[in-house]
Parts: sequence; C-alpha cells; structure tokens
Amino acid sequence: MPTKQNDSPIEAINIQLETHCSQRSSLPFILPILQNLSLSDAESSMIYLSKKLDIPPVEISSLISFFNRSNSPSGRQTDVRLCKSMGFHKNQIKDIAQALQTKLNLGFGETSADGNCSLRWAACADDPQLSPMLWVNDQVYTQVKVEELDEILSNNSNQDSQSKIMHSSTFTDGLFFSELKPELAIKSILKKVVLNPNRAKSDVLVCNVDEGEPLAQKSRFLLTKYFPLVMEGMLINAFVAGIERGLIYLPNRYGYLKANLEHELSELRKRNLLGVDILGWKGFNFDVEVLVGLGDYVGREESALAAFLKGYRPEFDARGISTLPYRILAVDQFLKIAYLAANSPYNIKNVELESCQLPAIVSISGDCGQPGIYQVQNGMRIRELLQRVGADDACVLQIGGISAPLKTAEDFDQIINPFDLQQAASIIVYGPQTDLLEAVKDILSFFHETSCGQCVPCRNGIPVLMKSLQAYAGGKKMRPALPEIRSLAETIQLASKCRLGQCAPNAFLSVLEIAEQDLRGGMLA
Amino acid sequence: MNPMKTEPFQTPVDGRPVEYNAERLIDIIIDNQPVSVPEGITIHEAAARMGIFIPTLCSHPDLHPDGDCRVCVVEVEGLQTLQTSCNYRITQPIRIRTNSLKVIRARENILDLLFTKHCGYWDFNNCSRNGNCELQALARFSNSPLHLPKKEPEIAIDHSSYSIIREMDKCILCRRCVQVCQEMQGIGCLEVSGHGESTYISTFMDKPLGDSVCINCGQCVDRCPTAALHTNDSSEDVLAAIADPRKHVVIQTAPAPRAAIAECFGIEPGRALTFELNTALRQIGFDKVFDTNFSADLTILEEGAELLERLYHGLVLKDDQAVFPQFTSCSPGWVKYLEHFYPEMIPNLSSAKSPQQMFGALIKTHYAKLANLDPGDIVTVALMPCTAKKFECERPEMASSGFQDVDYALTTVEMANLFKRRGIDLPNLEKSDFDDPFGSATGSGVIFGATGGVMEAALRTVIELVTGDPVEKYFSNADIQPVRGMEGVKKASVTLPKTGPVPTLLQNILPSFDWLQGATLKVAIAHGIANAKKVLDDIKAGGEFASYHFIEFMACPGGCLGGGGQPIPTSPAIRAARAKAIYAEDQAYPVRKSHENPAIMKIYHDFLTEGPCSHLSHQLLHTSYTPRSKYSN
Repeated sequence: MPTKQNDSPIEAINIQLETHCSQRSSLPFILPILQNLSLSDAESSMIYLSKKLDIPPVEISSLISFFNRSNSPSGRQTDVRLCKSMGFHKNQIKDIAQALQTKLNLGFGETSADGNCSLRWAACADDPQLSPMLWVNDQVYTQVKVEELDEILSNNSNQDSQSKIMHSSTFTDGLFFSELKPELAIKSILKKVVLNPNRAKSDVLVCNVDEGEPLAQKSRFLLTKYFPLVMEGMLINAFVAGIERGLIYLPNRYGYLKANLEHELSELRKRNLLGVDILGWKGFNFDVEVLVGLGDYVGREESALAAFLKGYRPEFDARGISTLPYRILAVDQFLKIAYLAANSPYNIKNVELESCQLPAIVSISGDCGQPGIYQVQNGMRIRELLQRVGADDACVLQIGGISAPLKTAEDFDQIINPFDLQQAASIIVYGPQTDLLEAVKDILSFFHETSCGQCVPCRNGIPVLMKSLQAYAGGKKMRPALPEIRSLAETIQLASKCRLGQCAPNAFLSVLEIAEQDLRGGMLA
Repeated sequence: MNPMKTEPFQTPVDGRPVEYNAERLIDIIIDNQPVSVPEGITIHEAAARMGIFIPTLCSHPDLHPDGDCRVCVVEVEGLQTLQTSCNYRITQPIRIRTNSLKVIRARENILDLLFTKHCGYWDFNNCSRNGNCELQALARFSNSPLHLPKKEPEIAIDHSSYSIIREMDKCILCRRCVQVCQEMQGIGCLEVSGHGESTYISTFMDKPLGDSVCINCGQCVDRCPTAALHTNDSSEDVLAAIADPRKHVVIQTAPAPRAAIAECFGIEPGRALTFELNTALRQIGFDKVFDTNFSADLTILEEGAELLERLYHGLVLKDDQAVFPQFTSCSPGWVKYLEHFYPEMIPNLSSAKSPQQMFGALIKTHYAKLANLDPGDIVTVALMPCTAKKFECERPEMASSGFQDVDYALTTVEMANLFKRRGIDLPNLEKSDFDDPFGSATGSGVIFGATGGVMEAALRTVIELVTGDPVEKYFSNADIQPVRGMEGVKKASVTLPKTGPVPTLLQNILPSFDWLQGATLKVAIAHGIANAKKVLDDIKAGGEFASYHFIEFMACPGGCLGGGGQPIPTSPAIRAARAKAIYAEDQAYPVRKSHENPAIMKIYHDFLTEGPCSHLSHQLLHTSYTPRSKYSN
C-alpha cells in the first residue's frame, strides 16, 4: 500500500512559519502537517506552535477539529477516501463502498485497531467524468471500478489519473473570453492605466477555486483550462489595486491540482509575468502561492474563507473578524477582468459594474445530454437552455445550485434571472427518472455536514428536516406534522445567520410543494 | 424570580467605548411607534428604551454580541431575512416589527430547538439554576410546536475541578464562556470544537477541566445562561458536619458575598445584608460566625510589613532577592494564573496568604486553644464570592495548622440556595453581630471586596505607620480616591514627606523609617486577567510598571464583588452597585484602618507576639507557590 512520509513535523512547521512571518495566518499552511500525526505527536506540535504564535493551544486544536470528519484519526499508513455521490453513479459508488468495507474490514469513519488504516468519505467529485473517484493517501484514482480495487489498494495500479484529470474533457461552448490572446490584456493595461503608487504591502488577492457546493465545477474547469488568462486577470487586478501578494485557494478535494499549478507558476516567473518588476515595469511586483485548504466548501462564503486564511475557524462573520486584508474573487471574475481590460481598459476601475453586463458562466449538470460549462446570456429562457443542453424531457431544475428551490415545468417559460445564479453559478437538471426524495436527502445531508454550527436554526433545525424526510420516505407519518415542519423550514430560511442556512431548506420546501400538488413522474414513492 | 431586565449596553469591561453617536439622531418606527434614536444604537437597545421587550439569550452586557442564538430576531422592512436585534446597528431610517407573525413563529421554533438540545429541562428541581435560568425564563415565549423527543444524557459530567463542574448535556452553545475565557479574561482555556451539529465546547485536547490551565476564576460560570457550567457545591458536606455533634463548625463571611446575596432574593443590587446573614447562619446551625474582615486586616499587617521589609532589603541593603513590584496574593485565581503563565515572576508575589487561609490557620491553632477544642474536631467553612477559593483551600501547603486549614469554601449563590431550601427568608431577619474573639466589621476589611480595596487598606496603614500622621491629612476622610473605580488598570503615587518612629509592632523587622524620607511609593491596581496580563507584559518589557513598588491584582473584573460565585446575572451596572454598597459600609464603620482593629492588636499581643513577618507568622500566615505548565495543570 502506498505509505505516507513521516518526516519530523517540527522541521516542516518551521519552514512554513518562516515563509509566513510567524503570523497566525501561517496556520492554514501548517495544519495539514498536524492532521496526519498521532494524537500525542499532534499535542506536542500544537504546543510548539502555540509558543511560536503566542496563542492558546486550544485555538489550534479547535481549528483542526473543525475539519475532522470523524472522531478517529486517519490511518498512519493508508488513508482511503471515497468521493460521495450526488446524483450520479450512485449505484456504482454504493458497490465500491461495500467492497471497500469488506476488503478493509472497516466501516466508514473508522480506523483499524493498529491505527494503520482508515476508511472515510470524501467530498463529492464534481465532474461526472471522473467519478467514481477514490483517494488513497495523496494518490487519486478516477473512474474506479470494483474490479480494480485490489490493484489500487496494493499500489499496483497503472492508472495515470493525474493526466486524466488535467485533460478531462468537460464540454463547453464558446465562452466570451476564450479567444482572448495571451498577454494582450495586461499589456494594454500597462500602456493605458497608471501604476497605483500606493502598493498595499499587506493586502492579499485571493483566487477562490472553491465552488461552495458539489456539482458546481466551473471554477476548477476554468482554472485548469484557462490558467494563463486567470493569472493575467490577477495581475491586472494587482496592478490597478496596488497589491503585491496573491494566493490561489484550492479546496481539499482539488488538492491534486497543486503540483501542476506550481509548475505553471514557475513558468510564469521565468517569463517575468510574476515576481519583481513584471514585464519590465519598475515597482510592479506581484507573486502568487498555492494553498490547499483543510476542508471543502469553506470558500462558499467570503468571510468564512477570510477567517480561515487568518487562522481562525471558518465561520460566517464570527467574532466580527473582517475580511480585510484579503480580497477574495472567484476564478471567473479574473477572466472577466482580463476580458474587460483587453476591450475597455479605461473602465477597468469599474470592473464590478461592467462585469454585470457580461454573460454569466454557469456549470450545468444532471440529467442532460451535454452537461458542461456554458455561458448564459441575459434574457435566455429556461426552455431555451434546456434545449441547448439536451434536456428536453427535464421535469425539474435548480437554478443556483443545490441551494436553489426547484423549478417545475410550469416555470420553464420564465427568463433565467441572473440574481438566482449569484449564490452558486450552477444549474442542475432532473429528469423523469430522478428520485426527488433521494435528491433532497442528499442536498440536506450536504448542508448538514457543511454547516459551521454557529447559529441555532441551521445547526439544530436541519437535522429535524432530515429526520422528517426519513420518516416520510419510510412511509411513516411525518413527525413533526407537515405544517410545523414547513414553519420550521421557513424559520431556518429567515433566521439563519448566513446564506448556507438560509438556502438549505429551499429544495426541501419545493419538494413539499410538489408533493402537495401531486405531480406524477416517479418522483415520490 | 427577578423580572427580566433590559439594560442598555454600557462600557464593557475591557473599556471599549459605547458605539453610538448621540449627536446624530435617526427617525425610525418600531411596532408602529415613531422615535428618534442616536445613530449606531442597536435595535435591541432602542426598543428597550421605549419599553419594548425583545427576548435575548446569547448576548450579555459584558460581551460582544455575536448574534448566534437568533432568539432576538426582528423584522426590518425591506430585508428578506430576519435580523438579530442585539447587534443590528441603526444607521438609516427603518421600520421594525418585533412581534409580527414571522417573528413570533421564528422565536417559537428556535426556542423549541434549544429546549430539545438542553438535557434536563424536565428535571429542573435537581438543577442548581432552577428559578434563575435564562433558558427557563424564555419558556414563556415557546409552545413546543415541533414536539421533538427530549434529549437523553450522553456526556459524562466533568467533576475533575475543585471549583467548576461542566455538565455539557445542558450546554446550548451560546459561546459566552469562550468569549469570557478568550477575550474578557484572556486565558484561552475553552474554545469551540468540531463543527455543525457536532459542535461542542472543549479544553485543549479535550482534557478534563482540572487538568487544564483553568485558573478557577469562575467568570464563565457567572455568564453561563444554564447550569452547563456551575460551581462545585459542597453545602451537603457542610450540613453533614453541622449535623455531627462531635464537630464544631465555624464560618467566616467575606464582604463581597454580604454585599450581593440580597440579589438572590429579588432585591436590587446594592444592599448589604451583613448582619442579617449572621442570624441566618446561626439558624442553619453554625457554631460560630466570624468576620473575614479580621483576617483581611491581618493580611494588611502581614503584607504591609512584608512590603516595608522588601523595600528595606531592596533599597537599603541592596539585596537583589528583593524584587519589585510586589504583587498581592489574596486572589487564588490570579495566583494560579501567575503560576501557569508567568512562573518566573513568582518571587514578586507576596508570601502572605489570603484572608480566608490566614483565618483557617488561626482558627485551628489560636482559636482552638482559646475555646479549648481539639482542632481535629473543628470544621472551618468560608462564605466567599469566589470559585477559586475551593481550589485554594485544597492546596497541599494550606495545612499550616497541622490540619486542612479551611475545609470548605461556599459561594454566595450556594449559600443563598441553602437558605431557600431551608425556608430562611434572609432579607427579613433580625440583625446580629459576629462572634468573638475575632471582632466586628471594619471599613479597611470591607473594602477588600472591591477592586482597589486591598491597596487602599494597605495604603491607609502604611502611610500612617511610616509617617506617624493620620492618613486623613493626605486623603480627605481616609478615602483614597485614585485607587477606586472600574477602570481596568489604575495608578497612584504617594509621596511620604516625613517619617516617624518605627511602631513596636514592626521593630523586629525594621530599625528605622528614615530611608523612606521623601520617597514616592508608586502603586497600581489591575482587575480582570486581561488587564493583569497587560501589566505583567509591561513589567517584563521593562516598561512603566517595572519601576512600581506594589501592585494589587484581582482575577475578576470589579474585584471580588465580581467573583465567579457571586449572584447571576452580572453586568457593569450590577458590579458598580455592589461597589457602592461596599464603600458605603466602609463609611459607616467606626474602625477603618487595619492597624486600629482591636482584635488585630489583641492577636499580636496574645499570640503572634513577635509581630508580623516573624517566624510564627511565616509558619501560619505565609505560604509558597508552585510553578505550573502553560499548557496543563
């Protein structure tokens, strides 16, 4: 089995402390080192860190515990993680799960008695083409079949998943920036816009690659396919705003991208597109590092991500921690910046206003002939979109990811509202074969796991919705009764502290409405 | 029980200014009533000023409102979601509904969720907060719409600490304890762990509280809305001792509980029940009721003498073992804090014990002889505002009498609960005096209960003994105002223009006072550990306080009157009222200087004949300290 390296943790910690000036913001870079240690090694490392950063040690253990998916530590030699299913490959993943449990003699969330081996769930693999996806330590395997498991577990597989991932052929139609010539945008800015003399030494420009929910794979796709253009967008933003430091934030499930990205960054440095005096402009300094987060979906919410980058628990607006000095933008925003810079450089300072006019870039998935990354023009109707993606028999869809309510056939003549896509630039299509109840269960389960736990309605209310759904699916009477459950769902929407809680009951409430209207089509048992 | 009070947000303990602009008024409408409010005020406070009550849970007058529980949500016209009134600051004209159907339903659902996560709401008569529980008080707003199953107890109760018990099945994750420990006190023993539904409050590596760096200050207990955190109540053991005919059970009462216990009986803060308490305690069955003021005065003599001796060694004999500033040592939470986090500064700590412990040692030696009792049959109990005193009396070195000097320390709340269980109506009892031979209350002893009180008592004595002048010559009415008040760190300096002869009491340790002629004594007072930390870091860095001579440190904001065992709720206004009561008592007593306490003069005449800081004093009344790790106990 592929084994882990067990170097001295203190040395590794010291390297990160030095790179990040022994500030609390070095914690996100250090915690992955601690996560793989035994309990007693972790304790002494945390005490060491506590001394160096001058913070109580419980702050560090608290931050790590936020990301622990189970109470048992990861296996010292072998840590097996199977990516959850969310609407596709459900049966295959179930089969693989069962096979893994048998072969390893472990349940999910358990570690072997000798501490060497562990089996856990990982975040959903967003790209159906890569799923079923399996991690063994840092090695990722795609399109896994049950028959291949023995080879994989004994480290004998010749799967070259890395290249499969990097060249995954996600469908995309012509995106408005895809024809942009490289370096055109940055050079036009350099000629026409004055360098901001106040270089903000402390600000950090963050490229957020974390979509915020499963099935939305837009950021990952755009980053890998258009990396040089994304970096140009970052450069332009850095030039105009006067920022010298950049960060690419990868959620844990995209950790396999790190090596490639760092390679590409070093190529950019060689061409003087990163570093000191970029493209010969004196004083224009900008460089970027890559951070793989400890968890997934933290980047859903800016203030949570900023808190994490500062070394605090990634909770929405907790303790009044402001997002400064991090400026967090999604991948496609940098592409829009590059596009605008190339076409109307003098308007670059109003980039937010201008980019609203550009078409939305959306990840479309589910029961459709051609899932992928699309651009959605303002004014497009739902029916039009469904035709484009090959989903003529769609019954229900969510505009705005799993956070959105369900739209049924009677809504299909509506114009797609760009505001709906703000929470998540993702559209999910459900065909006639979909078991809506299962889908809603998966959705609530996602919100349940991703909830930070600060506020009562989300933390304690979502489990009640989930239990009621189980009762309903089991043919039992819903408890609490339907009107009370509906009232609770509405309270969660209205009283939760952040958008995660506020959106969590949307799909659930839609399904209740649909059930009431008694639509046909194999949705409800 | 106390009707729910809505207090406007006053200056929080860390000195942050109130965040609104009284100059600029904004017109708003609350529940169809128009009103003008200062810009920046919260909806909750604006409503309170109009007499509109909005229930809250996680917000607290001493803490930053995080808006986590969502109980206080209201409707703001134009906004789709409900807003928490505790931290929504008004900056524009808005229309607010505090009781629309949406709001009422939300409140009911949220409370229902809270109750079903709180284990034991049906077992309330076994709960120490029954009748004074913030969650219970909200029951009238809920009607259990969801009919959810009640939560069964799952988590083992943490009994590991002498002072504080953690019953985490009752925790509703308001996070106040975390804010208190991290920010208000600056210790960082507790933090939120896990996430989502499995969030819980824990110590580092989930260690039991008794194994952690908890200093036992109990500020978390004071602010916990339920009984998730409560004191380690030994009143049953005390009652068993009282019931035992062989045991002679004596109790000493401290000024801070006396000033606050009335609050447990529904009385406004600020009325001291010192003498009614004596009657109540005798009704419970205590054989003797003594006044801790006596040993507070004793502490002043011992610690004052120690200061003078240290100054003599340092300034005249140039002994570099005599380090400055001298730190007071009567706050056991503060002492444990220093032992954990600044053990290298232990030599700065006064070697004098706290009044509680000095008294215990004397009771089982001098008093035992006087009363012709076997000290093994004496049980000493202390009524204290303090949770750390429970730890202090169990410290191994606190057995100078040959027995555990103080057997039990009970808190104000525990004693009030005991009275209630016995049907004793404390506020309406007759007054009665303390027992001899330890005399009656003094002003100098009583002010120990407030921050700056120890320092003021010490200065009254030191100035008089050194100059030979009455202290009224330097401070009108002997009220040393610069050391009083709720500011986090206070400073004062006293120049000694003349010196007199050394009084007989101190002649064993000092030949003369001439070397103090014209000297300026620089003193400081810090209360709350966050402020203590500021001063300690300043001293370590060679800052201003490094040149000071004497610093009073109290672990609890407000001093002992804000202790972990004091009545709940607490707030800056309540602590100010308690302080007022304490200083008013000081004014009323005929004896206001420790060295003039007749019982003190007698003890040095009859028992501690060699005077303060003598061999016998050191044996009984002084102690040593234990360096501890910064990460565990």
